[in-house]
Amino acid sequence: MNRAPTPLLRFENVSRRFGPVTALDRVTLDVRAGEIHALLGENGAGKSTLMHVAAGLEQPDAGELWIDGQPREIDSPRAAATLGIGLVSQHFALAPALSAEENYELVCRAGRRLYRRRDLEHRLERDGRVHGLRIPSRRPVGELAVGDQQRLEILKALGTESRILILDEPTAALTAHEFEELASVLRRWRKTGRAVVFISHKLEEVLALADRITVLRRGAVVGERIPGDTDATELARLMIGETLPPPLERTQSKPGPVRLRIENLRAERDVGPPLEIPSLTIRGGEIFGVAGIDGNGQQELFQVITGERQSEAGLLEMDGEDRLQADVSQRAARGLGAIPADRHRHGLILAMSVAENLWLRGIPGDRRDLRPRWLRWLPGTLSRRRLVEAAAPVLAEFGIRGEAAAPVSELSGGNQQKVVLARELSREPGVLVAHNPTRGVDVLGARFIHEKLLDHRARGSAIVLISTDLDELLRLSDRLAVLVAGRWRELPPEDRDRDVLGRALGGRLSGGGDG
Amino acid sequence: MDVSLFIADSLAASVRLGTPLLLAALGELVVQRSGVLNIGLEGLMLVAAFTGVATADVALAGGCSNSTALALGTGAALAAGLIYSAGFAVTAVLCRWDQIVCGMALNLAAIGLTGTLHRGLFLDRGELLSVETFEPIALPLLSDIPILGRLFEQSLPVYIAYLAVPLVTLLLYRSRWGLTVRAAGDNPRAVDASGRSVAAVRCSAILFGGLFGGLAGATLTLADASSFAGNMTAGRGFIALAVVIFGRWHPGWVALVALFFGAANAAQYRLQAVGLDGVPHQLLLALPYLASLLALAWSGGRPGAAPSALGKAYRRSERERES
Repeated sequence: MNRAPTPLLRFENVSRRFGPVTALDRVTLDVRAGEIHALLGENGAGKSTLMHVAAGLEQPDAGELWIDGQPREIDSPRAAATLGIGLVSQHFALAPALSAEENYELVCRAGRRLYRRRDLEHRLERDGRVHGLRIPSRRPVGELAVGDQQRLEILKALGTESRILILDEPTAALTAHEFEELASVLRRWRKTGRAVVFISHKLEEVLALADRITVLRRGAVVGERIPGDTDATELARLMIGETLPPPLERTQSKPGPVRLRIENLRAERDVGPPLEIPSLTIRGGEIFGVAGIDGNGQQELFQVITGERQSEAGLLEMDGEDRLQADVSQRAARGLGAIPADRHRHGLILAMSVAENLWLRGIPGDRRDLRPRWLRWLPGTLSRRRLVEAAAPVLAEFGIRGEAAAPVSELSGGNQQKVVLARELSREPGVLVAHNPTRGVDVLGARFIHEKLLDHRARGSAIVLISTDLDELLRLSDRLAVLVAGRWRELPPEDRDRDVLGRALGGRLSGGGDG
Repeated sequence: MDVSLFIADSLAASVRLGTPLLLAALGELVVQRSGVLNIGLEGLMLVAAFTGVATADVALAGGCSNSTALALGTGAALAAGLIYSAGFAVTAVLCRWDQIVCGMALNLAAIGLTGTLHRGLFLDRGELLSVETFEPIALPLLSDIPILGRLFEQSLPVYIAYLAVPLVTLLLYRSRWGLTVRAAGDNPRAVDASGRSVAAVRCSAILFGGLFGGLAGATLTLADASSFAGNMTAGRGFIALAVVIFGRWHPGWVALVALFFGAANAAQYRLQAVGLDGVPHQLLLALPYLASLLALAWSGGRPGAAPSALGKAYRRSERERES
């Protein structure tokens, strides 16, 4: 029998610790020429860390990397590039103020020391055509669609003649159509004898795209499968170490009184046509889903409801009272809860403790109990220790794994999101607006968040759920609208369908036609 | 006739007085485009101004000709700018200390250093620190234009400064180094991922800024004042920072803004000389500072042009601090 060919890239017993946390535990993994290799695992399973080791961004504490059968040291991104390893990180390594051709030149340095713009544009276009990746030039990259930015990142990796292309969660922000395009580029590329490593936590896309799947859990390899010999259930079990709970049951909604009413609302956006909502009425006990790719007015809708952004015209009522002129704190005081999309920038103060973050919006109950013992007589004082003690039951209720006294930045992404959720929900908001509440959260964490949202719906909250995740929307929402290029359209109940939604998101607001 | 002469004279003075600001701002512009905020510019100019004039003075005393002394002085000022900014590069980029703190430290050190050396080497020995300044050079043909011809009878540093505007523009927007500098200020990770060292790019930008700051300092003593006085930069380094902001980090705008500040300065001198009834001269002295205050107030509300990574030290891995 033939021995297996030498792998392009081999990790041998690679370990990496961050303080007390073991991120990688003796990982051994082969990446072969001509394959699309999926690395599957929950958030925090070590997928990204492993690939950062290969890309020279992290150094292993133990273990070796082999390239073409030779042990190699990869101590910088430059070393990785020399060995033909290209990484397309989850957070793109692009300079947003620079144009696509400038970003491309930054990496390939094919031009002269003093260049002409035309030459850069020409090279971008030519190389893009070779690989089937069209990218608009001349405009700042930050203004391009996420799909364009990703194509540029891939072209950058290809332009430096990578033999191993690593894609970290490449589909997080792509539409279904863009995913198909990406898949065909990768399949074409695989044929040239190179390899793709593709990091994901989405079972369906891994099964659709990969030739081989390695599953990581808590920093260790727990299984290797071929798509034909496995299924989503088995992969999920490997990923989370237990069987998935049965699908969530959404009970019949019992609509209560109108809690949020918006009429003829109009708000400027930073880019693109303004956000316009002709009419939106949400009753207590309803979840209203807003579908659409971010950048189509999602952020603005969120901000208009929370009061962070002024609307130019229209009507906005909460519980029957005009709140159009009310500012953020007034709206919050009248029972508005908000879960922002970017928990790091808008949801949490990372350097502050978990307990302090929980009480950012105010402290329920008798505050005198929270004063330090020796300052009991002084209003306004707070005891660090008592704050931490008061946080304990909340941490338990929301299953937050972490120390209440520790900085919230030390928590995993999922637990951080639960801190935001706990803070907003423990205020029992009458209206809750949530933007991508489960982004970057693992399966069990997302499931927990969904349960909590449904729980609050049952208790009479009106919930606006702005999300890019169609499955999430279809599972939770009582009613649905799409938001494309600032334009709002509510979907009739019979259109609750993945395909119809997908078509609507492609910019087609009228149903029918060929997709 | 009298009025047109006055205007031409004021224009020439604006150009001349705007020159140190322009030079310092052009250097700082490149530094900031790489993502580094060097507020030590004031100190850097002061050190270079002193080094330049002191070297020229010693050279003159040693029997050098006037032009040799000026050349030596300018060279010494450039070297001083380079060395002083290297101190900033080491602390702020290589050690990743807080850029504001490093800049402040260099500013304070410069006042102490130049003050002490000035006193110890010159004042206390009863020596007067004094040099001949750069002679104006009349450009052929251009200086023959009636009235506006006055604009083209300037000293060498003035011509260098205005010639540097298109050169810095070219360097930033048409050279590979400039591309890397801009990328480092926008998203240093992009530079790192391209296999280049962010620290090296930023250090080279800081040294570039040091050269320009050094020349700006030399202009103060070797082209304008012909001598040295304690803390004689009088906030020009900080005004140059304002020029960069007001000029929206672009060489062309920066040149216009520097000219505007030069004009504010020239107006101050003229108005003092003419004497306005009822206006105290202290108020006129404050004119350039008032102009920079207004400029900052105006542009402060218009963010967006600033390099995104300005003032932030680059760490490859967020977890680097722990491990």
